[in-house]
Amino acid sequence: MSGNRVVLALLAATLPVAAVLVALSLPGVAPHTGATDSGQAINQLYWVVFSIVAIVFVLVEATLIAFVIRYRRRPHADQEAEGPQVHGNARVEVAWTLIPTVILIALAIYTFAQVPSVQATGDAGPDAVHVEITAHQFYWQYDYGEGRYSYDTLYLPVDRPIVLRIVSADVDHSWWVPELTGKRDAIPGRVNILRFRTEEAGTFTSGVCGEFCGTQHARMTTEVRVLEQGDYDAWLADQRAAPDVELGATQWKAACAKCHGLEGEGDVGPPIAKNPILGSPAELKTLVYEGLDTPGTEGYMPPVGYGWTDAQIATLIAYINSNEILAPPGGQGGG
Amino acid sequence: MAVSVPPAERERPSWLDGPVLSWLTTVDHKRIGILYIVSAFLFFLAGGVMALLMRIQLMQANQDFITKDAYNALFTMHGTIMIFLFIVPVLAGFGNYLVPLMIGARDMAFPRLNAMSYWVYVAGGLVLLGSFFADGGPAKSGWYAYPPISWQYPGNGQDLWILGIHLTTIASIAGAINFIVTIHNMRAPGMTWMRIPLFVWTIETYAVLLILALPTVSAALTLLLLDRQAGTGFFLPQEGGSAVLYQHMFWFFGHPEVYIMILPAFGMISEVIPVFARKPIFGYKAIAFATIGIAFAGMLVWAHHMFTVGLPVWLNGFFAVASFAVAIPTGVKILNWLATLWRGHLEYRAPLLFALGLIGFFTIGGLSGIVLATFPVDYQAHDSYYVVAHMHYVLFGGTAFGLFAGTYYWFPKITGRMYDERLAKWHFWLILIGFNMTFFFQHLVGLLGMPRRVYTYSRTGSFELYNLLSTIGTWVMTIALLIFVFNMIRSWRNGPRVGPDPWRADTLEWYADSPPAPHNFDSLPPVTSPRPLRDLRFRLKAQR
Repeated sequence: MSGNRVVLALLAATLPVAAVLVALSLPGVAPHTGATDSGQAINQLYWVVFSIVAIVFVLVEATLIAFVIRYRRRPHADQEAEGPQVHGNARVEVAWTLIPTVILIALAIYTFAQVPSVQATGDAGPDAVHVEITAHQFYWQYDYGEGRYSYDTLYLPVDRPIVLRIVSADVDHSWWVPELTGKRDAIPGRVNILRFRTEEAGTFTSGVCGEFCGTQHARMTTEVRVLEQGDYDAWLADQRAAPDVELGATQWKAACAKCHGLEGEGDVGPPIAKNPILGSPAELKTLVYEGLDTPGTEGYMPPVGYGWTDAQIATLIAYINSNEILAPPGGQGGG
Repeated sequence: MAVSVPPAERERPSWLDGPVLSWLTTVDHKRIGILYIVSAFLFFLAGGVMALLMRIQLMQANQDFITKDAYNALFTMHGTIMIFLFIVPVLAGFGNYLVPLMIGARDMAFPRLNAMSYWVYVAGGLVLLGSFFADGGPAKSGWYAYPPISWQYPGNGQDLWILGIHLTTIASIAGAINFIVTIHNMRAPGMTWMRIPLFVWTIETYAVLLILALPTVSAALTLLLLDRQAGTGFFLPQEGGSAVLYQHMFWFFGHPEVYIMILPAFGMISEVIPVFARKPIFGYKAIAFATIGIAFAGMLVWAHHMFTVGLPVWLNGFFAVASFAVAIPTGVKILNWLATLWRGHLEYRAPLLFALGLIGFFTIGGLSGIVLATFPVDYQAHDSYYVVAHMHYVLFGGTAFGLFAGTYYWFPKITGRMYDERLAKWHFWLILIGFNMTFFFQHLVGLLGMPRRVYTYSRTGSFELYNLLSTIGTWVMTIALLIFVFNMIRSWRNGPRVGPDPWRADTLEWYADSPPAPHNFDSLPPVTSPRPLRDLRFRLKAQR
């Protein structure tokens, strides 16, 4: 290359290289590092793909810019002048078909090699912690077995293999906590398994629903508290003392308040504070199992509590009765 | 050739020749093309206003500019309008206008069917826009309308949405058959398959893909309509149906649809670049076969929209590899365009600027596509704003930039007048800034964890800043588009008149008058290469 060409190449590469460097300095250039083994493997794979595409990006854009500078028609040039009448070149075509093919095959092999670290399969071992996630419009119910539940907040122990069994009670949802790992859909009629090993204790607040699920999709968030083993055991033991007003409060907040307001004052749903149904376990159960569908109006209510046990309904009512703004007149005093 | 006004046209009653009725009753491919382009652009403006409203709502955390259900309706209708009422029909419009002229034909093979396609499309558009007045408002379950959520919504918006899509689908299938018959049977003498303009190759591929892909979505939406109205349960697990089946059927159409929307734009810049570089296209055959290769591989990648559904790993792996495979012919095209620029005499008129913009920005969309095709990475990026950024780099950075290149390039042919170059350059630079500002930051906010289709968010810091920058970008794009509209209207009325071939171009449409006579050509030059007009110029020069 002559000196001029080197200068041109450097000049042309400046903008795309600068773009990559700026991107690298910004938050969000890569998925979260991941507080789990699976999330870390995704992050690592991402950087490999990112490096490949960043190099291709710089090469293509720099070539484009170099040609734009170098081959501009000069003022006063002959208007009739043409470039060399080159119609193609078989060798060049073969080369630039084969080179990307080889790179992509390599990337595919590396991707497959990473899959076991992202998605563990086989026996999770006796050490594994199993939680069933039921996605509802518009909250997450976490079932730890033996009648222990939490809502919109998942509790996990650190340094343990986790097996999440993800199902949906109504429409498609997707459980996604970017700080932990990638998402997995909750689809009615299907059971999906999401597995990872928690590697870091802490509270992760970025959880969302990743698949559009209706009016309050944006508010279907979740939090994950990864606790030290001792704290987790203590928390779990504490859950046996249901029905529990504090648990009922989280249930109200997750399942009812998103549409009816924290104090039942109404939002997308009507005001329900002091509604008699809130005091009647039987009526409340029918309502949350069947929802409401008033044709021709906006009065649709999804079956928010489809599958709730009587104990869960009792927990919710215990909270309602403890709250004087919400409790219907007849029900008060029962809590 | 001694083709004058055909008898059928002479016998038309005179009341059909008025300025309005002559357009409403036209079967001329050029007028139908213009009708398509103008109607599609009006729908584009409607879809654009919806995007502006959404971006205002997302400008800051926890805003209440519009209601939740209104937001959900807006993103549903924005996607639906841009895909079904803007991109696919505007490409049909350019195809209608240009294909007969490019292959030296008098009209499309079935002019009346052509008119029917257009009017059925308009009917579909009116049904979709009319659904805003439906009981319960328009559809609110996304442009992909996954059941059970699309089954669950009460009101008639979703049913009207299905009807509207059915109508545009009928229009597109009839139009696609028309394109295929025209291209196969009505080429001028000498116009062999390896001499047709590359834009015609892409319209041929567009038409074949439409015929292969659309029946599947028609079937899926018919079953969805039955689930909603007749109590069947094809997609409802509680009735023994499968929600995932719908996803397969939808994306079996939905992914080829992406290539339906991008390939003709590739065709446009494959016409523009050689003319403004004063060179032949580098690798005509490679580009033509790459078009077919993209279409073929593009039929095999649908489930990369479903990586997080929980399909078996080997199946995800298959769709990842097939998606990588699409990158190869796509890369071939980009490199061939670059090689066409190499040692050219580049004249920076608006068509070339937008074509270069397509190369630069579509490349970004293509590369982020590789990132998404790497399926474990997709577990993090799927249904996040990263995907929104990716697909807008493909459909705006790719298709829209190609459409602007094509619009400026063929404007003198369609109107007989030249557009204002200075305004066109303002349009280019402002849209370049606004587009990148809007969509670049969406990559970042997506990987930070912002899901798609949320009417609001509560995170602040850089998360909120990216959203703000993205919103401001849409305002810059709005200014650019207003300049474009102003330029088009003013130049159509008052622009300087031009002759048949203002660009000293290569292909047959530039042999016809600007604008072309109703019958297109009085005679045709011999076609002995893909560049009959350049050949003609050289012959005339030799005779002088």
